[in-house]
Amino acid sequence: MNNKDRKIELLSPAGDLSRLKIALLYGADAVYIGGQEYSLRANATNFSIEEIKEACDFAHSLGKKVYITTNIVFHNEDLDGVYDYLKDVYEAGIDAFIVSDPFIIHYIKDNFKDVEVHVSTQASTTNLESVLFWKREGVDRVVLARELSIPEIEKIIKETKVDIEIFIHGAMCTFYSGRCTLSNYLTNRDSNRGGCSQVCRFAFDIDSGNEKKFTMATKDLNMADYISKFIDIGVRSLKIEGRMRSHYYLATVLSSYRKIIDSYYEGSLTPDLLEKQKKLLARVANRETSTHYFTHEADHTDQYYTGRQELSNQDFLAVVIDYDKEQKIVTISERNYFEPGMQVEIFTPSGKTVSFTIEKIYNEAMEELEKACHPEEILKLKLDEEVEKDSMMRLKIGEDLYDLSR
Amino acid sequence: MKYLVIPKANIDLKIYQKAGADAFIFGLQNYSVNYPEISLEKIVELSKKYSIFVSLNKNIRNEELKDLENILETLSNTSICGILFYDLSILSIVQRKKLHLPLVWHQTHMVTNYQTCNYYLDQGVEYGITSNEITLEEILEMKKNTKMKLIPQILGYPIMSHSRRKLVENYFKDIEEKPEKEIYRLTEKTEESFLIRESHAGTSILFGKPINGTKVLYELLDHGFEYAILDMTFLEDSTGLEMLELYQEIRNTFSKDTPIEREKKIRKSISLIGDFTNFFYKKTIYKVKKG
Repeated sequence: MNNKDRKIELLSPAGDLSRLKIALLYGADAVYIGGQEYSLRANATNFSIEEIKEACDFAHSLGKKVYITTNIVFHNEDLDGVYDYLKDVYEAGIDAFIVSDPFIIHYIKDNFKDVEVHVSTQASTTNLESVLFWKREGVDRVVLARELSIPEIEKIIKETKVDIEIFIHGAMCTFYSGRCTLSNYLTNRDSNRGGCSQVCRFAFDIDSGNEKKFTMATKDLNMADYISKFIDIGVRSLKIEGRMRSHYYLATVLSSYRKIIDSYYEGSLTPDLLEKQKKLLARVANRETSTHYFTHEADHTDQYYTGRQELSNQDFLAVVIDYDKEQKIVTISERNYFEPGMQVEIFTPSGKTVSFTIEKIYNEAMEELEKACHPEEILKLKLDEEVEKDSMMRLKIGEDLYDLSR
Repeated sequence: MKYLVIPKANIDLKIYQKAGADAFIFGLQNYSVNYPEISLEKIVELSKKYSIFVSLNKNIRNEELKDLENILETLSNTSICGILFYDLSILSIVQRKKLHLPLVWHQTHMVTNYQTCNYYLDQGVEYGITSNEITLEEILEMKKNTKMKLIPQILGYPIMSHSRRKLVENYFKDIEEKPEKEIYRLTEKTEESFLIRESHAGTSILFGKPINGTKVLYELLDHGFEYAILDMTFLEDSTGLEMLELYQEIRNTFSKDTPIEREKKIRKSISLIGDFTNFFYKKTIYKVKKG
């Protein structure tokens, strides 16, 4: 087995400071964030300079990294102040800039030390010659386009020796990144400056005489089955999509991929373990998933044709706030309905999972309740095993015991 | 100003020339997106008689690189006027092999600011086709701040997006039918419509109305622009030629045209192709709430 000397990076999105902390605690080696300028998620919460500094301090204290997206396609009006902004972000302690507009690469390389430049997937880099171009420009890492197969990626890594990052999980663009302005034309929102309104998920009439609406939305990406392959071929970083995703989503997805990666390096990745993680990933997915171009020429089976089909579930029950070792009581903040008799599990940032049946539910004054039905309410449960703060309680996966629609 | 015309296959280039075309843009077979494609041999042949630009604007894959290198070497031995590129592998090969080929930066929606123009100018790129999604004011500001030769599109249907996916074929597969025509029209709640078509390179969507750049043309001429693109692809044959003739007339008379004469010509163009001025006078937004 090759390429195991330098452990592959698990890279997570983080839409704000609390998500960033969850991502790093649940197994991300690095996070990518957007500042309040020049990021392709202009309408996410995004980070102020002070928050970027706090994010970097927190990540560095754990030996982890923070990358900032400055990957819009700049217009003239965006140029004013960009160098000052880059300097502020650099001084806040960022580890890498993710860029798509190349004019800032030289500026970063000429003016800042010990910071990397990563070329964004927005540049739609699809071949090794283009990667070599970026290498000559001083780029440290290239995030490849999502339209490539595993053999193509392998060849690029082998022949360029450039650090390669790929998306492995989350929503997909229907069009080449950077090559879509549907949003500009239909909603007047500039997709290449962070205003994408996801027009590719709209339904259209088509003049074919057929009444069925024309849609072009794609299924999401899930590459859990191929993590070992990516490690073997020398991929540097595995990226999760979704800076606007929830805390629970991030915790679940990251802990699953963390387990797959770690167990592969340790030689303990069994089919059972992989299946369990895939089941967990499936529970937080709100769309069907596919492996898209990684494994085949994407076709009609990789798209949606029957409306949005976006699902949600109520697996996520509560967040752990505290654990009282003496009383053996866990304090939680409720997120979704639960009641005594339900089989649940608490999964922790350090990777432990504690399964149990809820016997009694108490409020803060230790008065017994019939059910938990007020999101954000502080509640207490008896639990023999200690669990860490920021652990999450969910329905036990694989137990289809409850009607989730109530 | 020189008019670079994207021709229709059924019209003789001499007819376009007579109507005002100075140069033609063709796509190279299997390497372009949304251009009329011809073979390398045909391009070489045409370049002996006409001013020809060649578009190689698709996203390139590893397996195509060797062939691409040979193509660029062949083209470097012709009098081709320029190579339109999207994928940076083309720039990289031209630099690495030190080929004498004029390059046209054609990253459809990304030619949006003068700093990046200057970046590519430093890389040896001579021309840039400005994005269709920026304002005239932005184009004028770009011209002030770069020596790159900027080429706005002032006629034709603008490209909105391009995918590697076969979106039309996939849709029909799902309903167990086969596509029966080359281009379909999509409509949405906004009542805007779009053209969708597939090629070897995937699927492209174009806006359903052609750009009328007549008013813009006056501004470009007033500001000394040297080139503009006129895409005839989906226009009626006669409409395309009439517009080209009108633009030729404007090119010859703009410095003398009174405001009334200008208005008259603009009105004539509207009667031919409508009044869609795309984003020339409309700015896009991207923050819908304060960050």
